[in-house]
Amino acid sequence: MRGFVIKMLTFLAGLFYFLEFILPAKIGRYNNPLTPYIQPVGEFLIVFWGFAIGVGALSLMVSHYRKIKFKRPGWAYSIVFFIAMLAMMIAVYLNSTRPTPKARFMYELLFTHMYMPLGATIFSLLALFMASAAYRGMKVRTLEGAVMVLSAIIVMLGQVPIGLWLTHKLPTRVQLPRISAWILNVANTAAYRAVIFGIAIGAIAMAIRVWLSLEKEMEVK
Amino acid sequence: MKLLAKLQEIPYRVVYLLVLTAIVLPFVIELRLPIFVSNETLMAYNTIEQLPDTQIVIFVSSWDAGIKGELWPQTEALMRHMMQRGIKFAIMSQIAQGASFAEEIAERVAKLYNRKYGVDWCNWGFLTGDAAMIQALTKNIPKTVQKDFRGTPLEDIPMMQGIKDISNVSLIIDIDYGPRPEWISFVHGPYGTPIIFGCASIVSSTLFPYIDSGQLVGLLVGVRGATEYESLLRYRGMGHNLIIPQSLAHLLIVILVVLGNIGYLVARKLR
Repeated sequence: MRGFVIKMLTFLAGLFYFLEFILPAKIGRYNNPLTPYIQPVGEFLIVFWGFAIGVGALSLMVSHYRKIKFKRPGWAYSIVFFIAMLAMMIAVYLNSTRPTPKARFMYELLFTHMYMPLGATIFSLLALFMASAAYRGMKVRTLEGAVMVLSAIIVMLGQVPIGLWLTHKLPTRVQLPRISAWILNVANTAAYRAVIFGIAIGAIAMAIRVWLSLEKEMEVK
Repeated sequence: MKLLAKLQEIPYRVVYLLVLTAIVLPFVIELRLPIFVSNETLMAYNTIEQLPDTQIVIFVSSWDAGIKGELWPQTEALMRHMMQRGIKFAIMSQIAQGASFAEEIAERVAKLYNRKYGVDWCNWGFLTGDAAMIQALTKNIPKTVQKDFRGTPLEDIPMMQGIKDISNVSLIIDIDYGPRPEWISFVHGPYGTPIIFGCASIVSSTLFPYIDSGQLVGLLVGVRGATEYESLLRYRGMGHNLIIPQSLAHLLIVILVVLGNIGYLVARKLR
């Protein structure tokens, strides 16, 4: 019974959006009857999404709590997680509801001076990894590999001012930024358009399977 | 020859040190390089130059600290252009932190052009819901947004008077690591609203087809796009400061790839 209700709700939810999109705005003298409901259904889904974020946070808390309870490897970091989460929640709550100078200072300290630099630092490590990976991985073993490496070099230099500086004395047509733009706007566009078509057809097939609850993972046990 | 073969075995620590040097050097020695303005950046600039000031722009700023280096200069350049022209815009974000970053930039830029919150710009804050939220927004903006980032009801914000739905929006700008195609599917497709994307360099190749098809009227690609936009606005901002280290890092990676391949080919011949 539960499985049937879930499948029926999934089907009706998808049917609503499908019909609203494909039915014309005006059918004879009548307007599309589903269009006035797009906005309230959308509001409901926004609240629903908010619940999903809450469930995600709750799931994370349960996972870290279990790590502390059973003293699994790295459990000390789970304590740090709870301290950081509580501190940020208190700082944001106080700054939003009672924005005193102390609350503002706490918020600035945690968000602007700790979270932002930490986030930027983690992402900036990628620059070093990518340089090392490119050096080790981009080896010319075949003709296709050579074309790929050559294209990568042209685009990498053409996308930054140094490409123009290196080739500014050459005719405009063969300057690196122009060749790079051709690779991106013509060759890459054609190839990626083919990829998008494939992804879109796959996404339609997947969407229909999810809509009709045909996926095995959606079986309610 | 054996020495040449060793070119493919440079220790990773040396690679990291070289990359670090390439990035830090421009902050010690001032370097200037010519800027080539790409077609997609010029399209974005021309679109904003020709916008009427009777409608609002929705400025979606959905990026966080990790991608700040590429998207902060883009956000600032676009906000400068709109505030310079007196075009009203509403900031929103589809991630929790995005609205805070955009608010900080808008407050800074507003002081330069003497623009007021609520009159020239406002911040709707974090709106979740992806495609459902976008569809609801096109039909009824006040009901979908309700309050701004500061808790003020939308009907009390002067610039939001008379703004009902997508017909009152002249442009949508989405600045994100990978901007969402839902804006194209659910806004540009049915209503024809022009859209500009600003993205990280690494995902830009996936968005060029939309420029070619006319579904996007402009695209800012990473720091390069921000620098080009700054040069069109004739000011040197964060983009100009960051593009030089990026240029040197790119040149270094190319040199390392070439050296690695020389080493590989020589080693293969020696075997």
